[in-house]
Amino acid sequence: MAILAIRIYPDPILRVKCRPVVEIDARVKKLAADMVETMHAAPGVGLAAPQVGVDLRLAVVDVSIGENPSDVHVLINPEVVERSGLDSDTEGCLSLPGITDKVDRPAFVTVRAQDLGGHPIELQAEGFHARALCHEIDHLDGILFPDHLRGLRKERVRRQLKKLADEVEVHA
Amino acid sequence: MAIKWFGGGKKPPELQEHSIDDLIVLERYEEAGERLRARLKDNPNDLHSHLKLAEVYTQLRQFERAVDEYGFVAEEYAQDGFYDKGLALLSRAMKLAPLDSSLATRVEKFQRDKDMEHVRTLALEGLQKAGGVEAGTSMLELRRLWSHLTASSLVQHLPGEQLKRLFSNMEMLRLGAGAELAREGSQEAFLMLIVTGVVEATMASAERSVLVRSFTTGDLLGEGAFLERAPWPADYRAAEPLVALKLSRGGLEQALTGNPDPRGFLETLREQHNDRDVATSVRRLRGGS
Repeated sequence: MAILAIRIYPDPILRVKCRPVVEIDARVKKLAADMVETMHAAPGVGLAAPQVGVDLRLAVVDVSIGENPSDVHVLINPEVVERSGLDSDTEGCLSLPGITDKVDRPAFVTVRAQDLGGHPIELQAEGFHARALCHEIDHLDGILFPDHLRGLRKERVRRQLKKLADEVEVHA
Repeated sequence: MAIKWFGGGKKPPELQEHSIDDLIVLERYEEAGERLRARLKDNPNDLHSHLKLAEVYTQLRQFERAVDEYGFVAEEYAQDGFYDKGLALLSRAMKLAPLDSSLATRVEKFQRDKDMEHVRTLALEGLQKAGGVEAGTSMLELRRLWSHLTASSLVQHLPGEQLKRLFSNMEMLRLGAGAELAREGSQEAFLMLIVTGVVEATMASAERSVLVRSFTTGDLLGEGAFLERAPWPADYRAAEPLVALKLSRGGLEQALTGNPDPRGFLETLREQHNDRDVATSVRRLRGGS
């Protein structure tokens, strides 16, 4: 297994609408394992394939951040099939280091995906877990959490994003 | 460079491009403007792109163009009934072009239309009770009828609550062309608001009928007989199929019961001088014949 480099804003890969995974072969399995390791090392509660430079619909989520192996979910071609309620909480992103803000998300979601064996799975989640799933699935459509902000919050985060982009450029 | 997996798939065209939002964040406004204009060429009614373009023009200090974009979106919002959103955008445009008087005019218009929107909701409730829905008139038809009435002086002067009160106590009539509404000299007491169609007031003179005046959408008839107990000054007839709202004395009593401003209500009805004008014309025509 390996720790992958996490792509940082404004890397254009973060804005790509990812392609479905057609075949779950050894490369996909290795990618998933590497992503889990990268997520735990970061540390983070979720990671989507474009964040490590891969334009595939694959995400990993672990709200226990490595504390509980049963909480690790590898989601292939995930989609939110049901959502309800509203929950507003602070959110961050491994690709937007240092930037956080309150984001409205559904309080409850049902997500359908495939596991590494290609079997269909269904997750029902609420609160923080639901938030993490929505956040990662957004990544697969090129959506970042600041895209959900409006008004002054958006303006504030926009300035932070510019600062981040300038820093990335300096270090490039 | 993105890692390419499962080669053979077509490389997404935007793979190496920043999104428009990111170009704006990165202050690459010229590029963002180009992309937005290209997007709008394909989809001219994409309001989000128009708004982003307004923002880009603002950053590029091309204020006139920014004002045009804000104005376009504001109009679209207003047409869909989102007056507050439209007003907010016009307010932004006014900050960019404080000397542009046309913006102030548009703000006034939006404000008027917004006020009328509130009146419309109440008036439609009244029209429903006027026999609208029960009599088989659909809500869509009622809205159409209401759109005819908005130019009426009565509608413009009565507050929404009073309009609702008035309409609720009226009866909606549908009459064919030629239907007689009132005869000269009669004292039948009712008030009639024409919704669609034409009513002609005529007088008999030397064995022929002389047209004194025509009334149409929004005109109120019968205030003389109804409020002043004066006789009808001429013969009134539908010149073409007519939709009208009729208020009887009983209806008026209902409209005045519990009315917070009965005096203002009656004054507005009285201010319609149509009967008086017809009476004056009849007197003049008869005096001259």
